[in-house]
Formats: sequence, structure tokens, C-alpha cells
Amino acid sequence: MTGSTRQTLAAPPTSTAAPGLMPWPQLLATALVGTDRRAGGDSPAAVLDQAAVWSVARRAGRVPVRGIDPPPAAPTETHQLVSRQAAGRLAYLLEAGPTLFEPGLRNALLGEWLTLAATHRRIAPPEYLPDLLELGRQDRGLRPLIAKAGGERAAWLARHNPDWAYAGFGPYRDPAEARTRLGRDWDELPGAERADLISLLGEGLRSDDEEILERALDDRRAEVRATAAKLLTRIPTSDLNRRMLARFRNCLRVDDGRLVVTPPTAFDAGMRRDGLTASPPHGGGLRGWWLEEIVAHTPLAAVTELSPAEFVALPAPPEWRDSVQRGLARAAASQRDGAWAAALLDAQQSGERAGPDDLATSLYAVLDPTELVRRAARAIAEEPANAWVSLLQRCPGPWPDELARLALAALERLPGAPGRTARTGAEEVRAARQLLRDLDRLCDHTALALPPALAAETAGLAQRAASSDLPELYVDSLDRLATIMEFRQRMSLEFSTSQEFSTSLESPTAQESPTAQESPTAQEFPTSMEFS
Amino acid sequence: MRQETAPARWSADQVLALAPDPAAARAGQALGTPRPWRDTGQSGDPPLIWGSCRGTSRVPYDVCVDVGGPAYRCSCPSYKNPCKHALGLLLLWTAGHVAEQAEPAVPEWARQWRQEREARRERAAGRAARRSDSEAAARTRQRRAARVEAGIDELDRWLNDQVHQGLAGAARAGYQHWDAMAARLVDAQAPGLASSVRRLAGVASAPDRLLTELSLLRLVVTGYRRRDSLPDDLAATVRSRVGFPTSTEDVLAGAPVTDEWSVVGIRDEMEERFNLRRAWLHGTATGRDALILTFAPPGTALPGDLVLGTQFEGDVCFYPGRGNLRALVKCRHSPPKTFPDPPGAAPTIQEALHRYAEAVAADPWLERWPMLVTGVTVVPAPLAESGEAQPWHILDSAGDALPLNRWAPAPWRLLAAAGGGPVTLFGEWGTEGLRPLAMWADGRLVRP
Repeated sequence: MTGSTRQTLAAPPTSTAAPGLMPWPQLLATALVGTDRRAGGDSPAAVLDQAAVWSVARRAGRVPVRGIDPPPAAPTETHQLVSRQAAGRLAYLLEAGPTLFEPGLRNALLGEWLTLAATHRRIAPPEYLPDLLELGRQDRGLRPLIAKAGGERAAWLARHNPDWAYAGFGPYRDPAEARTRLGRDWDELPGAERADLISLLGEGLRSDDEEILERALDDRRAEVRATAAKLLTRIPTSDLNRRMLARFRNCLRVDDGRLVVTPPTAFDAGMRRDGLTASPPHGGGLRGWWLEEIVAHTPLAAVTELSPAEFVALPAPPEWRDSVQRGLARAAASQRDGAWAAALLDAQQSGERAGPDDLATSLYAVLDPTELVRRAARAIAEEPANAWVSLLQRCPGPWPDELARLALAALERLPGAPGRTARTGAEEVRAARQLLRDLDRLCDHTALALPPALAAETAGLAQRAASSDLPELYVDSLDRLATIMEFRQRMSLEFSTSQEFSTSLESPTAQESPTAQESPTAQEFPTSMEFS
Repeated sequence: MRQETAPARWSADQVLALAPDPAAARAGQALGTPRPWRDTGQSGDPPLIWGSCRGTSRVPYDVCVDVGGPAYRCSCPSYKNPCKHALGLLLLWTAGHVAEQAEPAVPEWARQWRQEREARRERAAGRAARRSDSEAAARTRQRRAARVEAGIDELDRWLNDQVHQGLAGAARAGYQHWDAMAARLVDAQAPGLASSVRRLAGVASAPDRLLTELSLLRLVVTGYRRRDSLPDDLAATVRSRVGFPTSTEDVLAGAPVTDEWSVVGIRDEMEERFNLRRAWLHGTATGRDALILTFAPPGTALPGDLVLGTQFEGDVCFYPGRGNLRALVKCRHSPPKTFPDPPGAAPTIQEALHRYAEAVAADPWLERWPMLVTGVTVVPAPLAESGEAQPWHILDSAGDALPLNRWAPAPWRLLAAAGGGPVTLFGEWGTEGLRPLAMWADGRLVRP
């Protein structure tokens, strides 16, 4: 067919053209310099006509490339793909997420999706892995979840793109294998891999990991050193903890019911090796910072015979009191010590101590759930709205069920207050506005902290608010709360093994009208499932 | 599989692409949450979706979308189509907030609208195309022919001139050099040639490509001069390359090709300040490829009636010309359905290239050819230590490979979904390589 086109279309050779076809390279050379510089050569038209024949022939005669090696086949997955609905939700979050949600909320919802996938031992459809892996480059917190939900394919894919190297260690996600590799290949491992393997040890830390971790304290890479120091504080019997305790005792001692404080006068090599930071991140005195660093890294269980409350209550020299308090708070948070956290929060609330206010959130995070609920209940019952609003804002999710219900009840009961504030003075108006803004933030926080099963309750709350005379901002806040909750509930139902969620989950309006419940939907839906 | 039974939901991106302007997209997004909606439901596949939206006015608007069209109806006064309510309802649906209902649950007004649309479709199909064949039209045609003739002569002189003076000089010339000739061809009412000349600027610095394109323009010139001795279909191809228009009525009056058509690729581009959408169809029984081109001025939505990964039974009418791929969808006999794997893919790269050679033989000016090939895998570029970036490839089991277009974004999603295994791939094949537009792996459609 190619031949016939040639004959029909290309003009017959002109008289000046050489018989036959000039080779392409020669034509190209002639065309490059120009026919007027090649005396006695072809006419431009003849060059173009011959080139046309070549052009068509070259296109039609395109041959495949040889010698390309296929990538190794990706290993078979041990886990099943998520349901089609769950996959659709992931696509929605990845594609439309950036325009429909604020980045923080979108990443939180993505994190929840990934957690659900990990909990149900399901994996994401592989086509979404590049987007997820890109996301993990910025958001380190999501990385382990992405590696889990990505299955074998994520590790396979990461080997083709250095930017995603963090997920490429998939095959030995098991701490035992990390332990073996670190012990055997330490000197050959690249820095990034050492860092990943070391942090992997944290997922199943054993006391005999101390040897590897002590060695890692002398690593060239700061990330490796920092992770190793952090992990060593988690081994109660570690030498690092013993060294830290000695430093603590050099700085602090109890004498005659008072705290005697002697902060270090120099930052020595040993402190640096044990993971302490020499300069304060936000300025301030060096000695106070070193003191805080030592306290923050000391195992609290061993520091005193006194109870945490008694220790916190000890009178201390005012110039060092803040550093000690901040150090203790950081230690309580990182060691997840609920008793110390409670004592420190009490001290803060009683107002006698310059409290570690910005650390309160991390302290609430480690409180024993019943203790947390007790405090929230007391605040809601006894304190002004702004106090419990800020307390709830600091309680990180997921909230225990009891706390969730307390918070919902408070949000429902509260409105009388900001809605009908007597507009007597500028001060009250300002306070009311501030409370509305705080409530708005609290609703966003609540929307991610509540268990998804409470979606219907939040929908009801939003609906009752919509038909009341509450300030519009608060109605909007509650509405957003309800919307996010419904999104989360659907998301979690899409992971449950029964696929019949669309029958059990009507829109809030449909639940109100009795006819909607009697509609044939409920009988209709399962029939389409019978073919499965 | 259990999951295949539920109707396919669109992606939110797909919905937002329908917005006539960014303001409508934003307003639609704001309505894509359950709060403003009451009495929502969907029925059928592709579904009819309905709901009533409480807007700023206290009267709720009744909104209804036929996803199969897609077509929209809303009782709001907005002139935009789709309006923000229709977009909001679609977004609500993509987020999984619209429950499936049985046919009796479809509200009366929505059912009526659907019936009206069906009736209108039938009337339109029955209407015969009329053409004016007056003397005035004949005179206009003559005038145009004379202008084109002069334009062809000028282009020929200009082409000869380029080769006479040498392409090395042309490579250094700026855009002005090409645009000036293109403008003269616009005046000569040869827009097809004009845009070919304008595009030369992009290859001016690659002598091999430049000589190829110049010679193919010369082929149009010689073909046009000899049009009376060419077979009719080839003469029509030459005329369309020159830029003679063909009216939609004429195309639709031609013999339709009835087949099951699969939408195997969609690509949106900006071309000369217009939004341009190329939708590629492949016929199951005829094995024919069709290209449906749609344009939209800036700020308006491209029609979303052809959805990637769906197929329908229908009549397609081709534009005249040998090997012409451009076509119009005349009518549909069935609603669109998704398919797990497109039919009729070339089983090997050799076979795909063989089909391409046939297409080039039919139309030597073919720029983009719809390549549908199965049993290939995606091979990423080797990790570059230094030097220029290597292209990606597709590779079949015989060891034959084709490069992917290096100007297209690296198709990581395709690599991820293929995982080194065999897949079916669709893309636009041209001199720069293959630009993948869709892939099917394990029965799932994957977009690059």
C-alpha cells in the first residue's frame, strides 16, 4: 500500500533530477547548505519531492527498538485490594482533595484512609501509589502507612525512583530483618538506609538492640544518631539512661523539701553523643536549655522517690523553674507517662507554676483515658466555655467514646451562651467573637477526633442548630463537623466486609422522613449483589 | 466480581472538568456536601441523579443529571450549563453521598424531563439535513478556489526558497519567518496549510524534522495541483489538508458506520486559544478508529459526553478523505457501559507498527495515530547518572519496544499499575514517540 501511495502522490521526477532516489543523508546535506550553493545539483523542488518520498517511507517503515530490558516483575501481593468504593474514595481524596479540602484536613483524611487499609489488611490499587509516594515525601508521618497500604508494589516502585527511596525497604519491614542487616552490613549500608533500618528497630525494640544503637550514636548521619538516642531512652536498662540519670542528679536534688538546681556550665561531647541539642531552638539562656534537655531525656520512673505530684510541687529557684517544668513535661510526653502528665497539668491549672502551656497538648495525649474523661467532664460542668473549649482542643484524637459523647453534649448545650451574649460592652462582644472562632477550630478538631460511628449524632446536632437562632458562624462550624463526620463514616464503612452500606446509611434528611425508610431501596440493593 | 455490579462513579476531576468556568466550579464545590441537599437519589446505569438543593433563596431548586448524556436540568435561573447545582449534585454523587433507589422512587419531574429528552433526540434524528445549493454559494466556492490556487503557488515558491537558501539559515530565523507565511496562507483561505506552516517553528532547529515537514507540505502542493487525476478519497484528503471545510451536515449525511464504539483515549489541549478535546474511539466489529474533535472557547466547558473507558452502540459518520480518522457521533443506540479491556488491540508491537504503516499509506500526512496494543509492559527510563534523560518504553514479549514521548509527563501511574506485567495500552503515536492516554491492567482502567 505504501508503494501505491508513492506512485499516486509524488510528482514524477523532473528532468533535472538524477534518475532514482538520492539517499536521505545526501538530501538533507543538500537542503541544509541550500541548492544555490551546490552548483549543478538538483532543483529545490526535486530535493523536496525526493524528500517527500523518503519522509513517508521512513514513517511507514518505522521499526521497533531492540535491546530494552523489562523491569523485574513485581512480587505477588499477599493482601487483597480494597473495595471499589474505598478505591474511589482514595481517588477522590487524591485528585479532588486539594481543591475541596484544606491541606491539613485532606492529609488527615488520607491518613485515616491508610490506617483503615492497614487495619483491614487491604492494599491500595497500585495506580495511586505514585501520588501517595509523592505525598510521603513531604509528610513523614504518613510514610509507614503508605508503605503498608502500598503492599509489595510500593517497594517495587520505589526502586525505580530515588525520590521514593524511603518506601523501598519494604521487604524487611520486619524489625528482626532490620536487626540482622544492621549487624551484618553496617559499613556497606548507605546513610539513608541506615536511618530507615534504625527507625524500623523501634517497631519491636528489644534490650539487646542496645549494642547496635550505642554504635549508631557515633554515626556520621545526624538522623541516625538522633533516632538511636531516642530508642535508647526507651530501653529501661540502657547505659544511655544510666548516663542521663547521673546528669540529672548532678543538676537536681531534693534538700529539705526544696529543689536544689545546679544547671550544667558546659555542653560536653558526651551530652552531644547522647542526642542532646546544644543550642535552644527559640533562643534563651544556654544553661537553662541544657538543663531542660537533660531533664527531658531522663527516665522519669527512676528520678525520685516522691510521687510526681509531690515532686512537681517542690519549691524551686524561680530562674530555673521553667526549664525543669518544660523538661519534665517533654519527658512525660515522650515516655507516655500518664501519672507525670496528670501531675504537671494539675500544677499548670492551679496556676502556681509557670506552666508548660505549649506542651499541654502532648500531655493530654498521654493521659490515661479515664483521667482524660474525668478532667473534661469537670471542666465542662464547672468552668466557663472558653476553658473547656481550649481543653478539648488539646485532647488529641481518637477520643474515647465517653469523651466523644461528653464533647457532643457540650457543643449542643453551649449555644445559649455565645448566641445571646448581652451586647453591653466591647469586651463582652470581643470575647463572644473569640469564643466563636475557638469553637470553629474545635469543630474541625472534633470532626477528626470523634469515632466515625457518631456521624448521625453530629448530623442531628447540625440540623437542630440550623433551625435555631444561633450565630451563623457556629451553625456553619457544626455543619462542617457533620459533613466531615459523614465523610469519615462512609470511608470506614467502605472498608467493612459487608458492602451494603448504602442501604444502612441514608442521608440525614432521609432518616428524618419515615417514608424514606420504607422505600424499596433496602430490598432493592441486595439483589444486585447476588451475582457476586 | 461483586464490585462490578454497582454503576461506575466518576472522579471529582471529571465532574469539575464539566464546569463552564472556574466560578461555577468553585460554587459547585461548595454545594458538593450533603447539607444543602434533600431527597437525593440515583437510579439506573448510567444513573439518573436527582435532588433538591436549598440555595440562598428559600425555594429549593430541583436538580437532575442524566450521567449517560451527560445532560443537566435545574429549576434555578442560571444561564450556565451545567449550573453550580448540577455540579454540586454530581460532586455529591462522586463522593458516594447519593443512595441508589429503585425506578419507582424517581420523582415525577425528573421522569418527565428524561422522557422529553428522549423525544427530542428522536425528532433530531429524524430531521433531514438540508443544504443550500444556490448560485451565490457556487460563486463563493469559485472565489475561494481561485484564492487557494494563488496561495498554493505562493507556498510552493516559498518552500523552494527555503531549500534554495538552505535550512541552516531557516533554523536561525525567528517565529516571524514562519508566521508571515502562515498569515499569507490564512488570507488565501488555506487554514490547514497555515497551521502546518506555523508549526514549522517548533521543528526549525531540527533539520531532519524540518526537511520532513517541508517535503510533506510540498506533497500537499503537488497533490492539490493534480487533484483532478487523484482518486476521489485521496483528493478529499488533500483538500482537507489545505483546509477546505466540511460542514457537519455533509458529514452526518454520509453513510454511517454502525458499531460498538469504545472510548479508548481522551486528550485535552489548548490550540490557538481554544480548548480542544480529542476523543479516540475504536469500533469492535469494524476495527475502525475514529477521532471526535470538540472545541470550546476559553472559559467554557468541553462536552463530557464521551467518557474514557466506556463503550456504546451507535452510528459514527466519518469526514471525507482516505484514511481520515475524524468523525462525528451521529446517534447512540445504547447507554454507555464500562468495559474491562478494549477489544481489537494489536497483539504485538510489530502488528501495531504494521497497522500504522497502512494508515500512513492511506494518509501520508497522518500526524497522530491511535495506537492500541496489548501484551506490552511499561519500562521506565534507566536511572540516569548523568547526561540527557532517556525515554521510557513499552515492550512486548517478542522483545520489541517503542519509545514513549519524552515531552509527556513520566507515566508513573502506568508503571505502578503494570508492575512489570503485560497490559493493554492506548496512546497517540507520532514522530516523537507514543503518548499514553489510557491503560487497562487486571480489568481496571488506569489514567497516566
